[in-house]
Amino acid sequence: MEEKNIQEEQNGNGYKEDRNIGAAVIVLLLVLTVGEFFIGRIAIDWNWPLWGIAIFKAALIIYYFMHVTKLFGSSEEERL
Amino acid sequence: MTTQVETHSSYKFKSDTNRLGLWLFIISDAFVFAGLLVSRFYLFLGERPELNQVLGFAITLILLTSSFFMYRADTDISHGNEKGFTRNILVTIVLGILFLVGVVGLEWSTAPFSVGENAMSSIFFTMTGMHALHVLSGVIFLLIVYRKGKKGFYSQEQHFPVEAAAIYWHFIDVVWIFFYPALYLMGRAV
Repeated sequence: MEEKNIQEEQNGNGYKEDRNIGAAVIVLLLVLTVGEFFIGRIAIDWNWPLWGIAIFKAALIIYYFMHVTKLFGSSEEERL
Repeated sequence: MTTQVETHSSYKFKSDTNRLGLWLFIISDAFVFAGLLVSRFYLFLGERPELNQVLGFAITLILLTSSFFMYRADTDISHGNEKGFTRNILVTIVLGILFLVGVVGLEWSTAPFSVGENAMSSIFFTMTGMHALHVLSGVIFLLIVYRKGKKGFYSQEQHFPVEAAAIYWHFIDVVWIFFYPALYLMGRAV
């Protein structure tokens, strides 16, 4: 019961939203990796799409997981 | 004056400064990996080593998934969910160890060449070895954070070490995002 209350309190503080963002990003990353795998198998000399996918995947991680924007703002309070 | 001293000794100020230092380190470390990536393409532009494709794909998925759990651990502690934090960081550690087993234990033993056999083997072992070393140090870092987390060192308000461990772990993932296609997918297998 107490745990449920804590959970509800956390959800109200953007907790659920943060978790959903993480889930959406990982699904996208996995889908892109599967696509990358098949492009690599089928189109041997086709490197540019692979570079594009890699850069996009890296950008997703840097922006959503590494919170690069925190470098430019005041941090701790922003996330709480 | 007093206010300035208080501000400079505040946890927030220290975290902001440490974060900047961490990112400077990450950027400088990225140059090492960029150098390795450039060397790989300088030596073998249209070729790649004949490696186990399924294994490469599997370890990539493992490392990506570990990043997701690290993100969850970071999110959990940011919102005061300490149980979730320790659980997710433990999953990250296990996945990191699995990645190491996949690269060092399996990929290295099944690679079609040995260390120092030719230029391709040298670049392959240097790239994967350097990355594996970072994964290993990341796992050690995470174990320290996990242990301290279990002892209640971190809270919703004060948890910069967790954030630092997460940034480092995600950086390792970003490096592999470029290494995976460079080693396994780009060019003709020779």
